[in-house]
Amino acid sequence: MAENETMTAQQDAPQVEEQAQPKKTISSKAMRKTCFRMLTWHRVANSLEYLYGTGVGYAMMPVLEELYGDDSDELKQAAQRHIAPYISEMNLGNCIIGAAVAMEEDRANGAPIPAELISATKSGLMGPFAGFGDTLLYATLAPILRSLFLAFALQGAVIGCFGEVVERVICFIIGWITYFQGYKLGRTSLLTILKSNKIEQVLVFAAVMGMFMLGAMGAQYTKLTTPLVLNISGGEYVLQDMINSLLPGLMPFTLLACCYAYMANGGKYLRMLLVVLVVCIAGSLVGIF
Amino acid sequence: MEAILEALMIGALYYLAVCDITPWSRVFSQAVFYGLIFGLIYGDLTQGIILGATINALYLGLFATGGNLPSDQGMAACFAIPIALKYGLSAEVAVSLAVPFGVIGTFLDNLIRTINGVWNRMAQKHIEEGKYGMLKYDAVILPTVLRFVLNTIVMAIIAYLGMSNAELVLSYFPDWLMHALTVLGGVLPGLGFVLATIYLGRRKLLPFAVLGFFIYTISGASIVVLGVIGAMIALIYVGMMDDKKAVEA
Repeated sequence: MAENETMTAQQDAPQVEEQAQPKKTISSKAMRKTCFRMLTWHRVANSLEYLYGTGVGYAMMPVLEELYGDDSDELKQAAQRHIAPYISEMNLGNCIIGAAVAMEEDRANGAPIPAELISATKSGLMGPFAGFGDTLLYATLAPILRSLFLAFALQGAVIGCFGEVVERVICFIIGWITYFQGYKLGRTSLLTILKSNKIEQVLVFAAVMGMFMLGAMGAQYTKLTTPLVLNISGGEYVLQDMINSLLPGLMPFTLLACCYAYMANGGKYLRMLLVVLVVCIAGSLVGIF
Repeated sequence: MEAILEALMIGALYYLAVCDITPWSRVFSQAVFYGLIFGLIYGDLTQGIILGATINALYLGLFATGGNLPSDQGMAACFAIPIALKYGLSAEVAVSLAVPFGVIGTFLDNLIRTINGVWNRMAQKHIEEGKYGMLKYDAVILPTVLRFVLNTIVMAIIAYLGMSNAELVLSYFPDWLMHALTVLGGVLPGLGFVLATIYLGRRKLLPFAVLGFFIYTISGASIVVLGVIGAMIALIYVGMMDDKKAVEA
């Protein structure tokens, strides 16, 4: 906010001498249009080269047209700088676009904001917010919500199919709020927030809870038992019962642990799938599974 | 002719999963959704939902980081669920059948994303010429048309080949293979969660996953209770982390 204040002060000085230039503001309709476009269409032209840049440029147009509509060169440059490669988390990361809009507004009103700063802000912030947003919304909130509804779906209840709808509503609301917050807070505040301790705490909380839930859901959805019956000195021992009384879940756990160890050390998903398939076939033939 | 129409319908439904038009399309990208739809179409709603839910379990922890599809749930579901419903396959076998197509789907996705670079270059040209009205074509309309055509046709071909040959192929499956596929299908969702824990990225926190695993195993508690326990454990951990920092500072 401090940055914005000094710029207004610089603007005031020349205006005292010349005809007061009307301050360019963005209509709330354009603000909403850009926000809406970011939350809906901007991901359609997903490309490997430009990521979501094409969509961001398209989304920014309502705002840019209002700011630079009378100067076609400026408009062209602004549009060009906003179709640059961009990728971030769509909902929490919307604050970056809000901040970029605020910066464009200041720049259009004569503040000495170099074009590179706006682009650099977007590029610089998009990584951290992607990590933050992805971990919070998709690694923690999403599996929990989906699992909640999936429990119903596995019984065949129709309501179980709507878990994703609920998640989408929550994310949309988050995206809407962060956009306007980002516009209000501007670049410097966002940077401060990123560096603050709060974010790390939230992330760790989400990560711990996420890991716990993922482990629990892994146990819920992995089924592996053995039909083996051991014949030892005349007595019959059903192996699965023995496992269940000593360390239930041993078999699925062992399998998942091996898979984790493999993948965590740079394993290939496809190769692991094949190995698991072979193990299942071999195990079935031999009678272990 | 009927089979071709059916395949085209499946193809078009698959498009909904990957269209990425508004994030609401992600509702469609979940296998449960296809379970619902195909259950309605093929007349067994409950089984359809159960099939969809089981396939969904594989992908519960997965998400598209940065638009990169790790596995195409849509294609997996669109291939496996109709076949499973028609030929009465169990949920686990359906899951086993679904997985390869989840992988194939990602190849298609990468192809489309490579082609999509074209739109940005067109957008650059339009901006140069000042034709801002054309941007909505570059960013939204043309890529959508491309995806619709490619995704629908590819899926339709796959579905057609799958449906017309499924009965034949299945009849050749010996019992032990079906059993092996059932075991595999029971295990695969677990792999999905392993991947998710890796994506989460914090190895130091692995003990919490193990903890969650065994707490579920011995209690079978509902996800809500587990959520409360998990949240409390997380709060304690964050609190201790904070105390440690305060002591060090």
